[in-house]
Amino acid sequence: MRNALAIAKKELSIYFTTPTAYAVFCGMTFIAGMMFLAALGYFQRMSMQFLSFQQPQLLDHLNLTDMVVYPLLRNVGVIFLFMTPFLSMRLVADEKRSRTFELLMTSPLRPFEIMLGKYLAALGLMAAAVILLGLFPLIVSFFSASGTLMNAGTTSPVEWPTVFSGLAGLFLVGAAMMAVGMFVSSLTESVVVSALVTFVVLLVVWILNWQAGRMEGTARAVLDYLSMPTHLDAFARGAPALKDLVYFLSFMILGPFFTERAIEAHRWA
Amino acid sequence: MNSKTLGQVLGAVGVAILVSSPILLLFGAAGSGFVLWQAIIGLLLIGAFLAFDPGQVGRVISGKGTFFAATAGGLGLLLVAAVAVGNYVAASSFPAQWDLTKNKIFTLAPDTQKTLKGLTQTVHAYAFYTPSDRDYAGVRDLLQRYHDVGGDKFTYQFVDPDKSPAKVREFGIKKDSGPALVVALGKQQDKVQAVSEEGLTNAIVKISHGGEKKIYFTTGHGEADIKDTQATGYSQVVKALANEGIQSDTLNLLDVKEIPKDAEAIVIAGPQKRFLDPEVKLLSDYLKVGGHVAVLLEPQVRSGLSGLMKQYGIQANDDEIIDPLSRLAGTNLDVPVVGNYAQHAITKDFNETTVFPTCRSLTALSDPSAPRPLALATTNPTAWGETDFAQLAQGKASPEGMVRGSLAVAIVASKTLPAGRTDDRSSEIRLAVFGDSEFPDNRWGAIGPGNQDLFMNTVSWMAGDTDRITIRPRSRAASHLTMGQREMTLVQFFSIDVLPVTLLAVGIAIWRVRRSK
Repeated sequence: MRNALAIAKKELSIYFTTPTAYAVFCGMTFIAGMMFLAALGYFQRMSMQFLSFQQPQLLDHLNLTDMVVYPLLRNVGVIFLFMTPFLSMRLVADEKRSRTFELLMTSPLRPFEIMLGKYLAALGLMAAAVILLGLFPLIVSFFSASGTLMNAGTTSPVEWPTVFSGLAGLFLVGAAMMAVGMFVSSLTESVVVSALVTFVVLLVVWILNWQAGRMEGTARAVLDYLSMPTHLDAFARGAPALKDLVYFLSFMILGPFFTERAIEAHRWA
Repeated sequence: MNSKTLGQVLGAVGVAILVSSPILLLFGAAGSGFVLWQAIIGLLLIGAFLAFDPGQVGRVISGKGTFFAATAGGLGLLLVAAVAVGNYVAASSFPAQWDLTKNKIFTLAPDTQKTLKGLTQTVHAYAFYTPSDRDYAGVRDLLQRYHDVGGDKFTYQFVDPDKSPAKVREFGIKKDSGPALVVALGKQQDKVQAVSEEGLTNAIVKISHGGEKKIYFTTGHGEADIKDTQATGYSQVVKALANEGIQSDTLNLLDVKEIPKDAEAIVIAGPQKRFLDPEVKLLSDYLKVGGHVAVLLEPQVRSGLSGLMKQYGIQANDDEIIDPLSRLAGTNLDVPVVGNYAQHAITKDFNETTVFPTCRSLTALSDPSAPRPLALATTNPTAWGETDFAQLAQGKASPEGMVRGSLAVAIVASKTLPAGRTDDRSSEIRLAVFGDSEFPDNRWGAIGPGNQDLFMNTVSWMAGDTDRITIRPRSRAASHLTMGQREMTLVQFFSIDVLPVTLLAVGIAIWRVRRSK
């Protein structure tokens, strides 16, 4: 375990002492920020409109969590789809490209520890991304608490339990995507191929439910289940079930297992 | 090119074709037969690769990596299978979701949970939705929540109306009426009026509680025949009632000493001759002990029931409703179209138009001794009650000197009986009077979009339980913001300036510092 942590530390320091993570996070927060502002602006316009028309019954249907936070969290899932291949591409492939992989293999480290260290680093990255995204609801909450924003009740308009559930869901999405990315990365020497293949695989998993739309019965249910947005959705609206958690955990088990086997395979090749 | 190279090319093509076949099955337009052939060709090409270079097989089998690959692959398959089982078990056996919302909007109301847990037979819901319907996901989630609580006592399936027209016919779903949700228990069915938790729970209560209920149609006065499949018969609506668990039978009041005990309601559908005094007394006595009677009248007919109706504050006027501005296109003057309904259990969530061919108007009397009647359905204000039948017979009518305005075509009166009386048949007297008897028949029931439903709602109100379950829809607590330009600018500043720019700055700084070292 100590060895794994040492590798995780080394990996994280590579991410955060080179511009990679910053560039990706900067892009992510910028795009998420634009989505957030668009939704917030729309929400505010609706509030104003209903207020000026004196339509309290319509005001009762306005909800910040439903109209701003929920779509934001869902859309960020799509940003993750584009972002994670860039973060995961170098995990193993880069070691092979820079010929440090042989060093790793001749070290007393077991493949399991190498894999675990790298995956822990990947999880750390996703945790950082999710914390950054949590700043958006925090900004709304901060302004409403400081009294410059008016809200219907006396408390913050942000439903924190739902928001935390959504952020947890995003973290799981990121962890599942990283698991796929790490495995793909362990199969190739080229970071470009690694990123591209990861993206294609994740995209297919993401849009499986588009195909579900034209089917019926069991086929539809299975495709819906296999598709990632179905489960992110459950978290984002604040009602996850055990199956949603198990779905993401499946990726987090299978990805590392196959990565470990792929690393081990180098001893045998 | 030597045969070995050729073999390798063929093998590569084979692998590509084989691997792509399941993906094509999922995303491509090709049918499964085509994909199967593709997979077979892929396998043949791989076979050709091995045939061209037989030594390859031996090398692979004896290779030191093969043992590892086989064990890793086997273990991997086992793990994939285990994970699949884990997912299946989690999805099927632990359906409960954690509801983290403030108002618990994803949790079914206690009444619904009680209803679902009390089910002794399986209720199956058919959702007639096309996958592209807007509410599809919402309805699926709602049904899944019911299934999660009810287990195998509540099951559901989606039926695509475009793909399964037979099912649509079987359930009598009207064409182009949009999505529909039907719950079924055994042979009974009920269409959910409003697709919501309240509507669905009430539909389940209705078909699971009631069992078979019975209503009687009176005979002997030229009333509409419930078995008649011709235009003027009631066979269609009676069949629809049977689907909702309400059986119909006929009753000649002169043959019996009292209204049968199993009667949930008596329907008098368009009598052409007078009811005799003993018959009226029978009905009157029945009403007094909590009976339920629906009277469907016709203009220019003396039914002999006016005294009885007057006791409950309802008067049938000797006229015929004419509404030149709101009538069914292509018909005579005397087919008013009605779209105004009062707030009542019968017309709850009911917004379809109804047409009443040759209908007399009704008046709710303000007699303080009688229970207060309610005008259930009224015509447009442009209507009038024509009393000059001779002129009308020639196809002419004029509003001069006639009663004009919104005229009632249906009136209901109900009166709650004091509790504790042993002879009562129910806790409430219910009387519904319509100025027309043709609206639910085989012909007009098919023409008026809401005709059959209005009649069926009336009968189910008469035969139904008084205690409908009311569930307030749950939604997130309202929250709104009003921000000035300054606050909006600040939020904007923090979200797309401060946050990304800080990250960018740190990134560039680290990059520069490390390069300069």
